Amino acid sequence: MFFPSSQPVLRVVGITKRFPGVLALDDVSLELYPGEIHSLLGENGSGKSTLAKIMAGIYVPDRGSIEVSGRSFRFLDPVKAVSYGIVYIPQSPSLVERLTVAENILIALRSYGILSSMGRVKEAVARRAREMGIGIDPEAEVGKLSYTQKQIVELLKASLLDAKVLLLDEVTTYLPRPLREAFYGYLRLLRSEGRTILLITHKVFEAIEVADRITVMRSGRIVGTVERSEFDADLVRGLMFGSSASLNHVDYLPEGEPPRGPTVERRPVILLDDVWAVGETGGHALRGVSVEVNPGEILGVVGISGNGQRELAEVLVGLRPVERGRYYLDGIDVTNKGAKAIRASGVGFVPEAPLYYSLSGDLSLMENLALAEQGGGPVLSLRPLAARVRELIEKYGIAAASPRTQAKVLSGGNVMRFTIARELESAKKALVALNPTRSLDERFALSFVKALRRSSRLSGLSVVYISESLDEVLRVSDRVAVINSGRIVGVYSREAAERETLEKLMVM
Amino acid sequence: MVRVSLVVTKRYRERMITSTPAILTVSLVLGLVVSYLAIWATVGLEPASFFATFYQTLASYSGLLEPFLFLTLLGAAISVAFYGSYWNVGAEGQYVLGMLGAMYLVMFSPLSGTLLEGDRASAAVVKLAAVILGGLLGALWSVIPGFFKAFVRVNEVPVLLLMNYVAYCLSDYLTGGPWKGRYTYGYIRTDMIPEAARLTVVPGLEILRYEVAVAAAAVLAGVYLVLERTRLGLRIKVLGTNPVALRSLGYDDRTVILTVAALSGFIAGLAGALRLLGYDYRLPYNIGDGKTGFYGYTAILVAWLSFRDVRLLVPSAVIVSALNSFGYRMQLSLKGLLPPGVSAHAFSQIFIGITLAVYTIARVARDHSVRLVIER
Repeated sequence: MFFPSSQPVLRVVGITKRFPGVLALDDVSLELYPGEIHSLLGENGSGKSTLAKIMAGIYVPDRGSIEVSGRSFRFLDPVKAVSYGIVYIPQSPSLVERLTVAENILIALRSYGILSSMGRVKEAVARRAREMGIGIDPEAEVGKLSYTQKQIVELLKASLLDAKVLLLDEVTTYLPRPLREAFYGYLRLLRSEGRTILLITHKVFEAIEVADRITVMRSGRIVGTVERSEFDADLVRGLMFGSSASLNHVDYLPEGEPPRGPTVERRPVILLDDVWAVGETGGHALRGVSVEVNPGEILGVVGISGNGQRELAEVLVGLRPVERGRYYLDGIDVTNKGAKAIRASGVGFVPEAPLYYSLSGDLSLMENLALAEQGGGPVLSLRPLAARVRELIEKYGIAAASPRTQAKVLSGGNVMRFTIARELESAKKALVALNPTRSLDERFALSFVKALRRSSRLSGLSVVYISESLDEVLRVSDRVAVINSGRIVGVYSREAAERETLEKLMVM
Repeated sequence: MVRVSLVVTKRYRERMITSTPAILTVSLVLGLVVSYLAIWATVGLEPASFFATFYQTLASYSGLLEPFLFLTLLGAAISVAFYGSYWNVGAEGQYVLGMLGAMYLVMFSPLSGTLLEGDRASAAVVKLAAVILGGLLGALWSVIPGFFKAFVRVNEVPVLLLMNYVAYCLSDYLTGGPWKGRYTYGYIRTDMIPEAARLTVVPGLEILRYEVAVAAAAVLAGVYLVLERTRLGLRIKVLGTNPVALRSLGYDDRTVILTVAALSGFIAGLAGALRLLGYDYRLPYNIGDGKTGFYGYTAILVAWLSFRDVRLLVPSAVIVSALNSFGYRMQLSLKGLLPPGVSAHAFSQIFIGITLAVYTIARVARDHSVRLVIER
């Protein structure tokens, strides 16, 4: 589908944007037409978000211009962008937790100068939710919603702003499969109304599934735009990763993986025995969870988001108190001993949002590394620290200017890479991963999975790998557990795990 | 249609320090010029006498040096706390507690007797003990709100403020009661501390006390090193920026809160002890009535002006102490010259306001890129 006859609704020309040590965008031009779903595809740190934020008036470009409805601007500001119908939806929802869904939407509308009454907002929320095929209560307090539901509220907000151009920045990363499909249907509905959607993603299949055109970015440049009729996963992947694109990404056993021993030693490193824990909203988020993980074993925990995954991870790393039941690490009872004892016995943590859970964005990478080191004298030895960070930057391909770079300056994917690097290097006994690949592109996600499997085989690292992606869990795990409503409803060895059975258990 | 807009974006650079003296100079000059113009327009004061006043301020160490040193010490105390998001607005009370500690040690403790024997070495030990006791009492005064913050999750700001008044009352109680002096010409105050307990006057620079200068330099260097080179400093900074990360990486945030509170209070108490031994020599009654110079509050300004960079505490303390002194002198020199109804206070406020505003705007402008964009 191409639109030679119609005028582009939004066009950026020659956009250049520089961040410290990085040329984020290098002379980028892009046109969006009315009634298209345009996918902006690229690996972590390729400049996708930066471009969208410039379109939404959040960043000011160093060079270049933005044309909206035939008018040219040096730059936009967010209010002006919204007045032209350009709405940006970030990857992580930015909502006020204490307010209800409707109140959140109302204040968002007000801040853009759109006046509306509570009654109309509630009605509109209900209608939109119906169109998207989801249930959201406008009266619900946002703090009590799951992450996915919050993301949906963000989408509702955007659709109520009457967006002509919707810039969706990796929004589906946090949506479970069935909702994601409903959401794609909704995007098609919006397209049929003549709206334009820029779907930013690092998932090749998502782009191919919904987009009319795919524009691929690499290292701050546009390397090609592909029409729907020419869609081909290998072609797109080739554009995305350059010469090194020969990825056999569905292979279960990545090349070079050491063979595993004939039997797994049964001496659980992690043992949860009938663990109950209270969630954020006061109810029980975990209801009698019992799992065990043996040395060198990867236990995948899969489930639709909001079924106790986050709480399980927090219990495992000692951030959430256990109300009932016991937690043993290597046979030692660590129930409610706190994060200090658990971390000290060699448990690493790769959380879904590292800047919330385990990094300080304001501090440098060096300082963030030093923070995770156990022991060491009271004085920091800066030179070895800097050398270690440089090593990690090199080994894990982190795009960071220097060891002194603040963590918050890195792109989301690079923050995750740094976290993975730090935790993989420091976890001696076990690693807890909570949706670790959400913000990673395919290539790095795969190399992370490989690295995990290698560590578990070679150094006997036990891993609890919590994810919403069944594919990913099946690829990485030795055993798969399904979590649903705070209970483990089934545990299968990988060989015995059938996709359909697992899917049924997840939605049961 | 031509549209003109101002674009401000944050610069992601490493912290900058080199251009600060220049910014400081520009703001002082602009402050002087504007306030001079204001005075000239109102009373027609000729430039010479105005600038003479300013020169006198700069030339008089008494005007600058003494507040500078104490504001540096207290600014450092408050800065440390700010790094850990411990909003220490209680430095004033901790400073008073430091005075009480020093007073007790040199006048009422068993050690005080040694001062009368005239032995220099033992006097030095007593002075050191007095300063340390002052620091410890300051730390105690700060750890109490810290305890409530760490264990009961009570916001520290109101508790710290209240503690300031408790400190004033405690001081007044002692001064008017058990510590009331006998040789005070009928005033309610304590007796002067013995000569042997007083800090060393630097010859030729009567306003300076050798020990205070050394302490200020040592505290600045120490605070910088702790924050930038030690694991403790790292924990303090993470406490201030992401306490969840601190917990998830296996640290006890409560311990860090108590540590940062104690460290901050210790420095403030130390400053109070030095003040008593070096300058005041006695405790007055009604100490809360401005007799501390409110340095504990003024130093909050110093800490903020340093934009949480320890190295910039020095220029910040310079600017705040210069403003204090010059404002005061300006009021004195304008006395009698002004038409009725015009307060000299107004001019010193204009001067202080303009200087601080220019300094802050210039600092922000330096750390951000400001561009004027013209669209046609």
